[in-house]
Amino acid sequence: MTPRGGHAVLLRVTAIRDEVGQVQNVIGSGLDITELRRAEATARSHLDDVFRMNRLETANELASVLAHELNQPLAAIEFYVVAARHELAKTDIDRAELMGLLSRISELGLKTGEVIQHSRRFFKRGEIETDTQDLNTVLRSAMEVMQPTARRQNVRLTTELQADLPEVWGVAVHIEQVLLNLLRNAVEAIAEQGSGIGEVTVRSQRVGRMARVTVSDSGPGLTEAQAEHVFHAMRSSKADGLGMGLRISRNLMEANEGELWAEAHAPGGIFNFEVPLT
Amino acid sequence: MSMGSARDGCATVYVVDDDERLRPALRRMLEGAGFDVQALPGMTGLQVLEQMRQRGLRLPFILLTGSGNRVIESKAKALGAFAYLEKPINGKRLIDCIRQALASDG
Repeated sequence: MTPRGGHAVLLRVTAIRDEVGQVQNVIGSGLDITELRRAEATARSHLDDVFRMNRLETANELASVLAHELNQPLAAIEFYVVAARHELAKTDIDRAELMGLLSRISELGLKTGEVIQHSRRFFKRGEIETDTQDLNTVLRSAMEVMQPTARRQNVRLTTELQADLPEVWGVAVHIEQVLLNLLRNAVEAIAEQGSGIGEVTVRSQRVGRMARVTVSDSGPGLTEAQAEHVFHAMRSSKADGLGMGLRISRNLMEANEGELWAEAHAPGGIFNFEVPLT
Repeated sequence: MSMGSARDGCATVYVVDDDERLRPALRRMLEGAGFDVQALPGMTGLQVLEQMRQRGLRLPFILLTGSGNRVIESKAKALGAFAYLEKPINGKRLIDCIRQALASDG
């Protein structure tokens, strides 16, 4: 209830009844919750700001990955075109060879188009609206974004997604951002380990009334103390602030009535998050 | 990529690129232009250049990059790379650059 003064008041009214159910007395109480509401609104606004910054950072990163992912096939197309010209300049043109070159050019052109289409989907899906989501689709989308970075670091991304997982309730871009943060951390942890090829697995499963996503990696993992402290922004073991990304991720999960936690497990990092099923 | 002049007149170009889309295309183009092409897997171009210099190999080296990273560019130049080119690049220009590199190598 918000009276003219602009205060938000929570009113509680209780009826006291006699043995036959007749109302004998009414007790009312009012609690001014203006400050609480204001604090909630400020916290929500801060979280939105931080989320947007985090998302922007991901978008910048994606733009750089995108440049690489487009440059490679475009360069390959140009090289096949030059090869085709060399073939055409011959007196005895090998038509099968020429057709092969043209097919490769066509395949590369289509692949390049897919890269652009995917990035457009990523940038378009910026709406912050709570809705029912197919969790596995959201997870696959984040995996596709991280795939090129993982490939460059010799890290294989795999999934074990529960096929009949019911829909979840939440903001798709929040869930996607949390998974991106976890995947990025996992890939970086493996790369810093410097042991060559690594692996990150994303699992989804139903646990009671929640859907749980587990991200496990072949990196060094976390001790018990690290598993808790890793969520504190300034307690990062890494120069580029692992803690900040994880803290944002935990806040995003809490805003979606979910949870995010790390397991004390070494070697091999394990992070879990849960979101409510519809 | 680095280059060596073979005695039979067909120069060998060593291609270092782990990208499955680019490597066969580059190989096909260079073979079409008359070069013998050998692939060197498992390393980045800069790593190969560093190792070549550590071992005293002075083969001409062209760094072809898609990242546009100035740090890599200055490092490649400091290690004496013949050219630093950015992808995507005109294929004919790359072939010309390889021929110039071979000519400069004497």
